[in-house]
Amino acid sequence: MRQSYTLPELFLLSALGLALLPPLAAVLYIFVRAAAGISLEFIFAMPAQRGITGGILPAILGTLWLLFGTSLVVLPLGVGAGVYLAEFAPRNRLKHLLEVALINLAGVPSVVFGLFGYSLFVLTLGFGSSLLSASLTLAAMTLPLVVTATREALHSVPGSFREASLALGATRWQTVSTVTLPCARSGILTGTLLAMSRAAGDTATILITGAAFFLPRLPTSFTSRFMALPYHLYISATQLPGMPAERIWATAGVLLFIVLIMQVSATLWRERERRLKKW
Amino acid sequence: MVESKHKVGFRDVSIFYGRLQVVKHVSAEIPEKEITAIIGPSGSGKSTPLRSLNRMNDHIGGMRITGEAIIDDQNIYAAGVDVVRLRRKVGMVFQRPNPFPKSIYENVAYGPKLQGLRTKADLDIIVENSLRQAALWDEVKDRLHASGFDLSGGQQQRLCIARSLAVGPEVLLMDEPASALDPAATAKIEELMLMLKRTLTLIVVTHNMQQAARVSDRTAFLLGGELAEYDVTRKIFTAPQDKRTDDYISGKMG
Amino acid sequence: MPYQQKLVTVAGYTVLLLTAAIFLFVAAQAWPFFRDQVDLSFFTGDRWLPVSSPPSFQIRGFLVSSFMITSMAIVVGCPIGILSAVCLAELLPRQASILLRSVFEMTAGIPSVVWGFLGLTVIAPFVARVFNLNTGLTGFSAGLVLSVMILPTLVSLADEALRAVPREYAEASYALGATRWQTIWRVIVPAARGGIVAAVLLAMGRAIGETMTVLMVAGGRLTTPGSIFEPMRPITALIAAEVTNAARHSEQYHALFAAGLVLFSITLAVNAIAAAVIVGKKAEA
Repeated sequence: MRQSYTLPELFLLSALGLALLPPLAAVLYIFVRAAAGISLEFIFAMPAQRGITGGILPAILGTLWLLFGTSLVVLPLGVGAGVYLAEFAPRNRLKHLLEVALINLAGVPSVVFGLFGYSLFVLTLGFGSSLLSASLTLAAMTLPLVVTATREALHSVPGSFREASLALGATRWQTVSTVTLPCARSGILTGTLLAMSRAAGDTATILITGAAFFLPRLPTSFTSRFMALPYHLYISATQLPGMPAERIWATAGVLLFIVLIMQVSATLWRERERRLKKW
Repeated sequence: MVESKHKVGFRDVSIFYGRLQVVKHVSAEIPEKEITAIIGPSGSGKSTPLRSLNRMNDHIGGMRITGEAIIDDQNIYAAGVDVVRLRRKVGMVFQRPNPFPKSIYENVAYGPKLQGLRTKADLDIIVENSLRQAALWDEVKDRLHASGFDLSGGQQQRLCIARSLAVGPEVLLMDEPASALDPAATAKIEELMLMLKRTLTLIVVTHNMQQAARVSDRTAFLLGGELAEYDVTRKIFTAPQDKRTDDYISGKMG
Repeated sequence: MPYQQKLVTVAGYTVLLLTAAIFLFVAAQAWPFFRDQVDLSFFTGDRWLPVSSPPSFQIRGFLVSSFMITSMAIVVGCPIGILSAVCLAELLPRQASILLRSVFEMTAGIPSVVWGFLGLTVIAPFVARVFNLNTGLTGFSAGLVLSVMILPTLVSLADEALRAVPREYAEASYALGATRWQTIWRVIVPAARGGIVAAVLLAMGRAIGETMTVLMVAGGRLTTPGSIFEPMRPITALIAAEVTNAARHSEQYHALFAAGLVLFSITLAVNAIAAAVIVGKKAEA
């Protein structure tokens, strides 16, 4: 049956169009403008002349390193906390407090995470302005996202699976590790991928905790400073009058591409799993 | 009727969910290798005493139990009882078939694997035996690695029974095991129950009085959380002592 | 308790610990500033002069800027966002809604620095031309970009709230002869009111905390703006712009952490209200 809409309903649908148009147009426009500046050299070469010529390889790799470091920390911690909340936390005031903390944590501005990371990791723990400090800060920022994704994925596993397992003489931990977690795996991974795409694009945190604009070498260790795409874009767009426009657009295009690839693959994967799943 | 050994017992058991008392001072002795049916109108607290026998109620917040639930002369709510071991001895089959999203083989092998059994040859034997005992082997032997969800509802329920049997239980609790199935599949489950009682003690909650009359040796009639009457099935259905049982059986309530 | 269960318990408490740690470690660096400056002029004054002697650190201008830009984003974004959520939850065929939800989710991933760059190069010049301003780098441009940026949060949460309304309500309404339009506005939306309020609050929290866009687009004047069409600097932008240049443990540095603490408290208050609405609703169900 074809849907038919009344006039006021069509008005509502036009609001939806209005909401979707700007982001879609933005993505399209950036990719079109970026095309002029993209070349093999731009992606695979070291920068030269303070970034005016050469490529942005260290920024791309810096962002990938950052994601690697962040996920190394946030994945075990976030999945662990999500498992605790969904499967083990007794229903009491403490759990209530935890859930409130989670919502609040998700709403803390990234610039505040930046200040926190600076105060704790850079200064107090003495990690300095470095890849390590920035990764840890981003891990803190993405923690609530991973926890929430894990918790939701576990909640969507039917309770009857848990019951069946317990009734077969499984301990609670055996039930979690052999039944519920495997069922929730794809939900957790897509949630983590989405969280990592947030980390890939975040600028305010890394600007405070260790990103550098011009470092014509690859990061050698987790304690060195690093280039990263979002920070590179920010500086190129605002602080360098001599920067050729197509290079800035190309940087924006590469960043957007990386972020969207993660988003799209997470979304497609989730839809595929949703279709395959039989419960 | 010859009294056989008592396998399961309730001694003045009351169960509360928060302030609500769901089971009120139930006492009964259940003999081994028989089928005992628990009947009663919906909402009369039939499942609760059943679920108390393998302590599945432990996971419900605010649950409190008084009195003694006995299995093999031991109070299973006494301090120091190993719940995990208890559940290996007291299996459970649920109202809706609930296979894991794993293969048929993995579903049945799940319990033995939990206990540390890893050898493929041993597992193969247990899986085959359990599936045979559950009268499912012939239907699935060629597709053991297909998903449990590929089976029909009745087959899924028999798979769940096989899964329970693989752990080697002595008591099998069945919570309305056929209520989600069609008559043909129900008949198969009932046939299976009669076979299983040769080796197991079966306790089955059912809202289907014909089913209770067909398969059970003894019947307990629960009303509002109280045990109104408990006796040999034939007597319950032909000469109930309690007027409320009579009313229920003859369809005046429920 | 197996050790794995102990590990996840520890992980769970880390969430709590982290929330406390954020406050403590930001407060630790803000403390020297609050210790030395005891009067309320920090909030009410308009003089942010970090390098004068003596320097002066007063943040009214930044607070007012944050307030103006957030208000604009909410005023423009909310109607569009809520109406869009109604479309997704109630009007569109299921498949289309699923697809569009994914699209919204993806637009949430567009980094704020990218939005800032677009605001800088596309929106600001456009605003300058339309309103005949000297510069388009104003609160208005920033608010406009922000109103688009908060849509994914707003839409997905409002949509979720609308879909959580039991189908029986709608069916009861239809059974009484109500049209779809009447059912939406008289039954479904009122029933989802709590969730929609929470969605607006969380979107507001995002708008207050948004940094790169406002840093790049809002202009950057340090004093209290007279109107939204003037250049201004919200509190997030202040911190991001100055913290890397401030000498460690200088007065300016501690003042920036103090501003960060104020920002944290504001977003915490907004989110706490939203959390109370959400968790309270869950407890009801």
